[in-house]
Amino acid sequence: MMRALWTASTGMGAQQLKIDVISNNLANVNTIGFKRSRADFQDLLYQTMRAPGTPNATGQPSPGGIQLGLGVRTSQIQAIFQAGDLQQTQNELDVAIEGDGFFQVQLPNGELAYTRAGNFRRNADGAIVTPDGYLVQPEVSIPSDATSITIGQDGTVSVIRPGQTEEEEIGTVQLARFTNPSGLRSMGRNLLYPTSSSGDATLGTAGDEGFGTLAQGFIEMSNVNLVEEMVNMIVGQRAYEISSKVITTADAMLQAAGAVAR
Amino acid sequence: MHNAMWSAVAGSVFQMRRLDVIANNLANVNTTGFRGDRIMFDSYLAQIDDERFASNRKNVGNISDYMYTATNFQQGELHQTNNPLDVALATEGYFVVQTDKGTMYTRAGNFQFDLEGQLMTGNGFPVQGEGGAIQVRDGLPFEIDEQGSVYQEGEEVGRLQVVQIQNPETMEKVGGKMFKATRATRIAASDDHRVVQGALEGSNVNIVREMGQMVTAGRAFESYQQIISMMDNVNQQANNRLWQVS
Repeated sequence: MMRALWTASTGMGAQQLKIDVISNNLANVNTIGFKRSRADFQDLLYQTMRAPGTPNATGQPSPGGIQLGLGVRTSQIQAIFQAGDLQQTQNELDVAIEGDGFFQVQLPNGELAYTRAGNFRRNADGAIVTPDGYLVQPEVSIPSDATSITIGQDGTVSVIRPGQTEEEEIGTVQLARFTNPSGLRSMGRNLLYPTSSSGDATLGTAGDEGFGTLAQGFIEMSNVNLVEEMVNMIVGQRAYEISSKVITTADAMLQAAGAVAR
Repeated sequence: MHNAMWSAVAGSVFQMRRLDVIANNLANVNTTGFRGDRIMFDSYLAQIDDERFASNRKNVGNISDYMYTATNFQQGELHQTNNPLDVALATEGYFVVQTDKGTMYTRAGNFQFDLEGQLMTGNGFPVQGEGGAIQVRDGLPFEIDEQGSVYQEGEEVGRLQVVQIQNPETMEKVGGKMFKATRATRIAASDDHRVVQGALEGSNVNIVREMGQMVTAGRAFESYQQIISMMDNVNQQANNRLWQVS
């Protein structure tokens, strides 16, 4: 009986976590470059009270054993790196990646982080930075007198200076790729950190084998699907409710058992 | 009289175990590829009767000896996820997983890649292909066809091993959505299965059925407790009478 109580509480805990993950997805439905996550569950260990085939009281081998499951646990919260929809912005420093790859960003402490959010700006020195002011690597500096900026599909950045008619190439936006992007650690601000499970970044040029191409004037929207999340939320909420009913039933049974002894 | 008392106790224990099983089923109602269990009671009462009529009364044994659990191997519903790493079996069959405790079988196809591009289960064990683990070339898109063959740029890089288990009821559940074969399990290579990429198989727990079972278990338990109370009352009255007579 107490087992049922604990089992049901693992169920409630798991469904609560599912709702937590969904609420973060929903909160980020308009976050540029956001990747939704999903809580994956697995059944906990089974307590084998009697193995199948054990002789019973009459000496016959029993047809089946008794295996009591002890509930559920979260195996992982997995980020799903499906592409989000591209939205046209006409902004010359908005860049979306069509296909695989991440932009490489340098944090103020010198460490590298990765992002799919390509809503870039210029800082005071003309360098291309994220909205938080982190430098995009390798660094590209845009001359202050540039009249137009073009970012090609392969990541080459060219500008036109006043009085010139030809574009001048000033740098390249490189992309990074990971064997297992699900292993990247989210650290907020649309940034991801490599871990031992994601592997090290492989750098390359946009359009190379395995890398996506760049689209200037577009941003990649969040890949959260509202309808899907709402359905998942209902499923999680109901499952939570049902596990709580198990606790109510177990409680009623305990109460009945307690009433026997006077 | 004692028979009635012990029958009620046995019934209570059974209903408690039944709720344990229901609780586990309901806790796993959102667990990919989960298979629900049920518990059965194997005519314990009839055996007590038999032994009463046979003049040599002997110990009737542990109540648990008359219960057994069985797993429901019906398929769960498939639902679309559009994640290329999610794979479901639309037919009978199992994926093969190599763990530190030996070969296991699973219906849960929420896979991922490790550092070297090897296909792993959600809990980090290599998924077996025909002839070893499945290795993809770094970061390139891949497709999985209905037979379970994995392609990258039109070239076959591996094939998911799918087996058919003729008597799944002999397998043992080990948690982590995996089953372990026992000596009695008959495993055959599958030639007739359908793999669906971008979908997952849900849990096969039927909530309505479980809720019904749960209410029944709760009520039955309460009735048994009332029988125990009643027998206790009868005992007490009998004792009082005896006391008065003597």
